Amino acid sequence: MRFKDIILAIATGILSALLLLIIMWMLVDIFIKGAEPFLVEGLKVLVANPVLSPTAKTYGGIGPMLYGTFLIVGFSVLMGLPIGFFTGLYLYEKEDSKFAKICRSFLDMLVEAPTICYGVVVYFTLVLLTRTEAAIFSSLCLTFILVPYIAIQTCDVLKTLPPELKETCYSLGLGTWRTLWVLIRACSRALVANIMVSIARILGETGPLLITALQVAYWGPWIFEPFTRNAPALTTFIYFAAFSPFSNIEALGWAACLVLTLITLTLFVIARIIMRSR
Amino acid sequence: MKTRLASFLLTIPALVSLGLVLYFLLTLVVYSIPAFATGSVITYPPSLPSIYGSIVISVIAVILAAIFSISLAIVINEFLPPVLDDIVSTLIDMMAAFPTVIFGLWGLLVFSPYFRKYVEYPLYKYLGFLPPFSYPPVEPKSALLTGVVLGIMVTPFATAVIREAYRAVPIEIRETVLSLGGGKWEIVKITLSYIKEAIIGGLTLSFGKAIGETAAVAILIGGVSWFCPLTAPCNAIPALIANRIQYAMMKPELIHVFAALALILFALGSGLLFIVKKIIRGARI
Repeated sequence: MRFKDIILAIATGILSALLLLIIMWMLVDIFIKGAEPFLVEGLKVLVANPVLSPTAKTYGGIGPMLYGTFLIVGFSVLMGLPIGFFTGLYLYEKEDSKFAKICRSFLDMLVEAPTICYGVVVYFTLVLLTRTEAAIFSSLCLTFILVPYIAIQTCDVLKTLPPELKETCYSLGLGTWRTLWVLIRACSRALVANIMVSIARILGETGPLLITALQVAYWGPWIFEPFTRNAPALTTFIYFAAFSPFSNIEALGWAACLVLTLITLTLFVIARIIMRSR
Repeated sequence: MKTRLASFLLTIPALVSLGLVLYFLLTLVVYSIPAFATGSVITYPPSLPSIYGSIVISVIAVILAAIFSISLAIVINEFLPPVLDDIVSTLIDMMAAFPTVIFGLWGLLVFSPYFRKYVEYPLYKYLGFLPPFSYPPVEPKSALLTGVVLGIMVTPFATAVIREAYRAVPIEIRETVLSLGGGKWEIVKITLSYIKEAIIGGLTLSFGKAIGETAAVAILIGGVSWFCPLTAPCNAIPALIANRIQYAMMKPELIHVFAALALILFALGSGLLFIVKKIIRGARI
């Protein structure tokens, strides 16, 4: 190795190591500080209500936020996944039609849109009209994010298949549905992995939730009630924990970070394993 | 007949998606027209400082992302053994899917004190005569801190693009350089100039991510609307919208201002990426 090469290796190595160290620092912090409420209260943290009192000796838990996140994300996946997936199939199947091209370029434009913009649109057209912040509107925002993402991913994954496969299916006399079914099965792993990563993505959304669902710490008496009024969620709780003067809420915020990290990590690792095992 | 029915049924979800897209775009445009017509988007006091703040923090983030992602791409492809390479790549990819609000909480509660003590304070002490560093770093929140945390946050997006482009460079180029007596330095130089477009694309992507980020920015920036020095609390469009959109319930004219700001944000984030994608695709053909 010559002098120049050594300089290059050292400089890029130090910069990369710096970034990796910062990332590790953050992950370690999340695990250490997030584990504290769990060590004191056990798994009750996952179901209990938070204790919102400056003199409290106990932490309480993040039960309502966990449940709120599952409902908001679950409902938006229920709405967005079929629409996005079948749009992706359409974009692949009718690749050459004019309508599909228009559709594709619009979706391309929106796929990386700032998510707060969706929040603004939903806020002005629904929240202001009904005069209520509700979890159902947050679900709608997340659907907006999910649909272009899944549609484009689905279309792109299908495009990686050899075109001969599609031609063979049609030449064997299979119908459109049967052909698509064969194609989907051929790349089902990549499709499932992409869907899992996009769910992990909307799990971490905060901006739209902040303005359309606001923040409450408790869950109503009826199981679906917050769908029509203010709702708790993990991400918004972390946001408010950052501003909270109470140390127990701050600790619960770290616990929420830990839970969110673990869920995201699990989804991501499962997606990786699905992609790798062949 | 059956094929007809199938294609008709497939058209429905596509129509629904297009409907969602148009609903989004039309709402933004229609609601923001009055603000552009009357100029209230300019005259609303916090809006210009927020646009300035958004651009400043995103530029800091992109500069950091450029430094980090290019060196990561070089290290991963040139120096690391395959086993480590896989681990580092997976870790970086994972950070791309990481909830951004956690960066905000961690940045404020853990990173900010160290950053203030070891970066902002020396900058103020030794470079304080320069306008960007002229504000004493007395607050835990500042534009520089936000930019740096955003830079760490958006690096994975740029890295993914640049790394894959780097990997896809034909091996003949490497062989040619080696046969001419070049070393790693020459290989890296030529490869980087070969993937210029991918680098620009990846950095534009991370710019869009940085400028559209809400939660981390709203936590870290401080929410003070002025044309701030780097070490002072500042404001950004997403933070302004998230903090103040409830005021639109009382003052209906603010609806148009916020819609216009959201449209500007959309144009800066997505629009720029869209244009760059088109240009790059054209250049490659």
